[in-house]
Amino acid sequence: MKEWLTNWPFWLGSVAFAAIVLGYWKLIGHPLGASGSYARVADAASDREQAAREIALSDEAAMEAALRAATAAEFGSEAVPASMRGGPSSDSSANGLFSGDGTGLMPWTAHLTFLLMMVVGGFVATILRGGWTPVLDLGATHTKFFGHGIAAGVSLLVAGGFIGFGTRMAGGCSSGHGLSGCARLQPGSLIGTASFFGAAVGVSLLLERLFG
Amino acid sequence: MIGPLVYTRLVVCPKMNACALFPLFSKAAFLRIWQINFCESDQYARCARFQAVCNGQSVAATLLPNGKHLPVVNSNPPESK
Repeated sequence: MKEWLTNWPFWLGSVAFAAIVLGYWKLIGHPLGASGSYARVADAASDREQAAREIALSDEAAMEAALRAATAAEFGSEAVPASMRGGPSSDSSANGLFSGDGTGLMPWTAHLTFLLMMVVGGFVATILRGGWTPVLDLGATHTKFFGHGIAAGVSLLVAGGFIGFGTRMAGGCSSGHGLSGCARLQPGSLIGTASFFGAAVGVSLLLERLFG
Repeated sequence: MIGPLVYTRLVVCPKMNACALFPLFSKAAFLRIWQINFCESDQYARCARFQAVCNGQSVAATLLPNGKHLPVVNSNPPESK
């Protein structure tokens, strides 16, 4: 049991990751991403406004009428063929224009649940592996640079700030780009993941060379 | 003989594939004009949805490229009790 909770065969880990990431994308309709979920929880106020809009969008007839009106207002009534100015347009209805995929917008509480369960899942796995012991440092290398005191804590705070800033700038974190984006072969995610993992490896090797 | 090469500048919005409205615009002929004027135009940077994404903001489903929101109202009012 312990072995299976510590070291999975690489192929099994790959299959599990793929199942979770692609399953989440397929079922929920949005790519999985921890930072994205965190942003939605932090921005819960505007989330309610968006959720109300999503509900409104589920009304196909109203949505289509609004789109026709908006198109005519922006580009002139000539932009909308006469046959489409009246009732529901034939082409859109036939193709299920506003049918959607049923996924809609997940409420911020669902994102909060996802984030909390990440913690719970990690805790359960640790317990099943044979108990846990609180650890207040990040290992020998971190201790070597920052010690155990306030400096260590401040270094973590500053590092967390940088990670948050970079995540926001890049539009995703290691789970969003590394897992979800790469699994869907998104060019931006492939470049982003290669960049931040490459930078991490490069900095690690540099520190090892300079101070190792 | 091969004719002179014609250089065609093909510029499309780089956020197009992630946009929720783009596929919607493809499904009805009367909505295609939005794609022509915003998504597949070198003016895509003026799209409000593109700007919101670039600013790290969440993009409302009702936000149109011109910055206005769809005034969606429920066409099925609740039954009176």
